[in-house]
Amino acid sequence: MAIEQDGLSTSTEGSVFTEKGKLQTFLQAWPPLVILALAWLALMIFIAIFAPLLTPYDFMAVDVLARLKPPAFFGGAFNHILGTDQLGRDVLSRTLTSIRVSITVAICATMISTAIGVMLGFLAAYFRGWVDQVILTIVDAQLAMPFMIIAIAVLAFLGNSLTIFVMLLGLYGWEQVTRIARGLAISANTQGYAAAAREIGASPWRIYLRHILPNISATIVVAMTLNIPGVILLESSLSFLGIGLQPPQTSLGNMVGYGRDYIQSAPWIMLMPSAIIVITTLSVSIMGDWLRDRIDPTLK
Amino acid sequence: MLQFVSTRLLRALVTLFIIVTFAFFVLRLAGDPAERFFDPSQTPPEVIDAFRREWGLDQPIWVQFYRYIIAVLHGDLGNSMRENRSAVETVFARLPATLWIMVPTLFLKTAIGVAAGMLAALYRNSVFDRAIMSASIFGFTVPPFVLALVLALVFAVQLRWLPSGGYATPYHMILPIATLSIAGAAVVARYTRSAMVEVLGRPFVRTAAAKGVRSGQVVTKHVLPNAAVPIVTVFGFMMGNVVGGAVVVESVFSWPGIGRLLVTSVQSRDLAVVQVILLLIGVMMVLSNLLIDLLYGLIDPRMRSPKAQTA
Repeated sequence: MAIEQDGLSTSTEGSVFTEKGKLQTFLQAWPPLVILALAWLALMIFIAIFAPLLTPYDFMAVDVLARLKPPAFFGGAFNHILGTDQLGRDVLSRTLTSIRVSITVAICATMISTAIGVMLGFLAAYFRGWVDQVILTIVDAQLAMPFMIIAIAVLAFLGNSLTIFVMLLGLYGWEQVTRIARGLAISANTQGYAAAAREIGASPWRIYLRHILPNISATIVVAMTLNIPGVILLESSLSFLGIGLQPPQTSLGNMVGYGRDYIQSAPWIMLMPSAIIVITTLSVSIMGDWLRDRIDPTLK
Repeated sequence: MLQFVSTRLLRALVTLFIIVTFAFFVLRLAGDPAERFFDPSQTPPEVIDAFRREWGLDQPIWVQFYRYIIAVLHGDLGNSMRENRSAVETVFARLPATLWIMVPTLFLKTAIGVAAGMLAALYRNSVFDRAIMSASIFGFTVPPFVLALVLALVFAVQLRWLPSGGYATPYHMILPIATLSIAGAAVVARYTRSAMVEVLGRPFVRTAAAKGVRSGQVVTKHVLPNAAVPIVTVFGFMMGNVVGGAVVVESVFSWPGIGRLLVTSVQSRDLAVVQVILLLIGVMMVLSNLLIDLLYGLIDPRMRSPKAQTA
């Protein structure tokens, strides 16, 4: 009761109430956690774009005289703030370059899987019948098989070029997008605007790409965002196992992978990239959930 | 019910066939194992030809595929190219090690996850709920290899309570099981909570409480059976993943199970072994999906009708 009366008394004092209300509505739309997550992601994207300008050393530069130096505040010097690894390479430079590689790979892969998913979903929705059934069966088969296992097999047999790696990761999550795009396109087909476009004589291409796609794009974008953490985890797991990105190429998982051999003597090699993987996937998940709640609460 | 069971069986078979086809084509089209196995510049061509003939690699791909399907149907999955014994034997020799960590993990993560998820749902929006859900998000987003390494760093390197890797004593099982259980329990807790929250909001729960059913009974007799379907789904996925779910963790803790065999066979291009593992994981997945589908029919009579199947 006391709280309610409090609320009433402040509401009579006009200005104070509205000030508080504004702040509250702002915090409701932009929870502090979301702001933190967005800020972190902005930083990651900034690093991904400008990494070559930000790194104090070349990420491959070997310095045998400065091997396994600890980070600055743990007994090391400031010329290698995050320490060095077993070959004397600067951990900070390697981490920044790895962020660039991992983020780029994750974004490219997600774009590919979205494109595949939307295309197959639209094909299923347009043709229905046996095409629909075939696509749904493949979706079911994909759902029945852990993608990680498929990826391990394919990768090692196809070899390890960056292109193949990105294309393979681009298959991750396509089945989710296919299902969403198919469902949305089928229901969009029954709506007035699609029917109107068809009546005017628009081609199926035009109807699907110029009318239906823009109308369902919000949901697709949310699905894309929710796909990214999975890709980051998959890429880092594969690189960690030594069958993802190959040296001298570097990625966050790759750093953790060789860092684990020095877990006793130089834990900083693996701790920094590990922390970045965790915070980044966490941030993307938080952003994805927030976007979903804002844009399309039905997608759960 | 017969129609329900037969459609599910048919679907399982189709999925299995797709997996077999996929395994065969990707692995064969990807590259010539003879070239990977021998250095072409060092080996006389007759040796490579003999190798190709012996493994049937000189035949057109569709002949190889046809032979492969026939062989699979006869249970003959070829020999490991590295270890001179059948691929099936090689794989099954590693199976116990994987099961030793995965079976306890399966029960541990389900028990912890369901308990935590139920408590979080029953005391929704309490501090307790928030703590469980935050922990669960962490369990979701921390990759297994990071979790494994952090646990190894704390318990093996710093505290020296547990061995950091190997297969000698039961103590060696603790860290792998802990890693997998923490990550799995997080997933189970999230599903359990959302399933429970949805059911708790239904009118029949309120009615049960209103007519004086004790709260413990409301949960066990009314809420749990209705929330069971999503929980059983997750359990089924984890059960299917028992063989292949520990690839990363087995590598971190040098555990000689199927996961590590997969990674090493893939690195040495041991085709037959990789195929057997892919098939084994596929069969496990399909079987547990089938089992879960049939369980649905038992748990929820509405699922038995043909209409519900298409949904």
